[in-house]
Amino acid sequence: MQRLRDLSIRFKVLGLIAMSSFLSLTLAGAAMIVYDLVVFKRTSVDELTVQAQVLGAISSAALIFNDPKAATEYLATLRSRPSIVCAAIYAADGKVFASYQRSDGSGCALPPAQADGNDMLGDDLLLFKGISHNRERVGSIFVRQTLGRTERALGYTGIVAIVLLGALVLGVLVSTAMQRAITKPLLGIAEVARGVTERRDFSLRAVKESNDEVGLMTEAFNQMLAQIERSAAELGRANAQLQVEIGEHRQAREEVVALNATLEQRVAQRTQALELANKELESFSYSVSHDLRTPLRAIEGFSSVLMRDHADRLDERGREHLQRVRAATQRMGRLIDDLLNLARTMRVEVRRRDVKLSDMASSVAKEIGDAHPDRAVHFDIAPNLNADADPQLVRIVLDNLLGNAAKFSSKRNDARVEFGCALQNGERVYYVRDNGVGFDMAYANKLFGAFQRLHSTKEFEGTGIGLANAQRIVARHGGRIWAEGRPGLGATFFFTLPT
Amino acid sequence: MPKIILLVEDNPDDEELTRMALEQSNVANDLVVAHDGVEALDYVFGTGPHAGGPPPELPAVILLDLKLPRIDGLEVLQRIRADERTKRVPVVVLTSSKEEQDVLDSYGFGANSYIRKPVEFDKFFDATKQLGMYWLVLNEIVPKPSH
Repeated sequence: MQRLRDLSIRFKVLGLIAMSSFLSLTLAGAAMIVYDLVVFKRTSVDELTVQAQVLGAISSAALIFNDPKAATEYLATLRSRPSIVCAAIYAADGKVFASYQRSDGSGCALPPAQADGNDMLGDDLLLFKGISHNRERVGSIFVRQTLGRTERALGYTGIVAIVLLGALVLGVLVSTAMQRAITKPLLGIAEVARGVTERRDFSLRAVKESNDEVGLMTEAFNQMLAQIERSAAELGRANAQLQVEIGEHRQAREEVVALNATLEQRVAQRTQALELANKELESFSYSVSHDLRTPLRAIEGFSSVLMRDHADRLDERGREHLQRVRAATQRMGRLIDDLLNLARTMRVEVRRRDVKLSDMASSVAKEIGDAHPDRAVHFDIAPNLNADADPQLVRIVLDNLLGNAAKFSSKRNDARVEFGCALQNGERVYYVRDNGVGFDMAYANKLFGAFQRLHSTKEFEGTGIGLANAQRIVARHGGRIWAEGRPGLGATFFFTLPT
Repeated sequence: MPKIILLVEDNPDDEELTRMALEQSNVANDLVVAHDGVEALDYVFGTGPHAGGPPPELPAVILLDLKLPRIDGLEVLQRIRADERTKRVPVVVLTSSKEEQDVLDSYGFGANSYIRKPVEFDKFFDATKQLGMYWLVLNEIVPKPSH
């Protein structure tokens, strides 16, 4: 079956036509032959019956007059019909009266007389017919004739075969023409499909040559091609769009890379500049540290020597002026020291570790108390506070904030300085609160500037560096520092040390 | 035998103040002053102007400023420590600087002490007095090698 399916349409059409022609012609031929044989036999029986009757009628007188010679002669006329093999006339008593055998010697045995009728013996027709004279049966006649049905059938079959052959040849010719009509459009579709596949040319169309199934198929194929062409065109447009976008994207990325490179270069330049600035600051600090202090020390030293060794040669005002020179010199020394500390704070690396703030604050408070035994300041330090910070730097912050708090509340008898921590918006905020002189919030922004002071040196000593330093340290930890206060009602300084 | 103090100091004011402070603390010593690093090295090694004379008496202590003309204090310290004759002489760095790096370098190169000169004369006086007391009175100096 598979082989049958794989045959080309041409052979299928051919096979179909050949098979149907063969079958129909064979059936028709067979029917015709059978019919002819039947008719032929009947006609033969009729003809032979007439012949027998005629012979019987002629021979009736010979029977009556018992003249077998005449009867034999009559029978001999059958020679004109070679198909008759043998014949006989029987007398009324059933005895053979006269007989005839075909002259070629192929005679036959004579059967005994029988009643009227016919019978077939092989291809031979056996006929019995009574002979009457004046309605009286005087004998009977027997004729045996070879019908030659086989030859006849063979002849017919030959004709049918010839016709069949002709029909087949005709069928092949017709089918060849037909298969062209069927397969040509199909091959055309296949050709177009191949062209589309190989050249990706979706504008190709198969030619519709008929309105049959193949025509419908061609139409559907062309519609499909049109659809694919549209889809391909859309795809092409989308692709082009995508290409454009990819190009833009690439360009943007290149720009970003270029910008990054520029940025890196700039960062490197800035870093270099910063490093240079840092180095300059360092050497500047060094100079300040060394060179500015040296003359100061001379001024202070010689004033001191003057005061000690030659005070008796100065009057009261002279001694007071000398004292002012010394005080100013010492103050300048402290200013220089504080400035250097500030510069150092900006330079040193922040080394974070766990700092026990409460312990540190207590230590600072004790130092303050030791340095100023005259002040009566009560420190209230919350226990167990800690932070992740640089201990040396945080120490400076606590020094400044607690020192300031003590300093600015020192004029009260009930001076209190509180150190604690509170959560504000989930953030740990440390605070130092005092009940000292406080400050006007209008000046709050000046608190943290270097050398900014809200009080006179005479009122409260100090260089105005401490809070600036504290602010830089907190900033270097990524934190903030701010203050709240009211004149006469104390101040609170807040700071954060984010981890 | 008086113990010699070698003061290496380029600033005349500081030199005078140091001299006064030492005098007033009654540290009875010969104060030799070198005004820069070269002078200091010439003195201890008997070179330059001191060449040809008898081998120098090593000072009981060297008071060394860091910021000096020509050869600076740290290099003077290094050379003194590098020489077999002088490597055990006590050297006290006496300077205005309190730069951490200077302190580290000084001790790293073998200084025995590091003192920052205070601005206040009283404190400077105290410091010098203590210095003299410690290095010249209390401290046993390295014995001279016997020939």
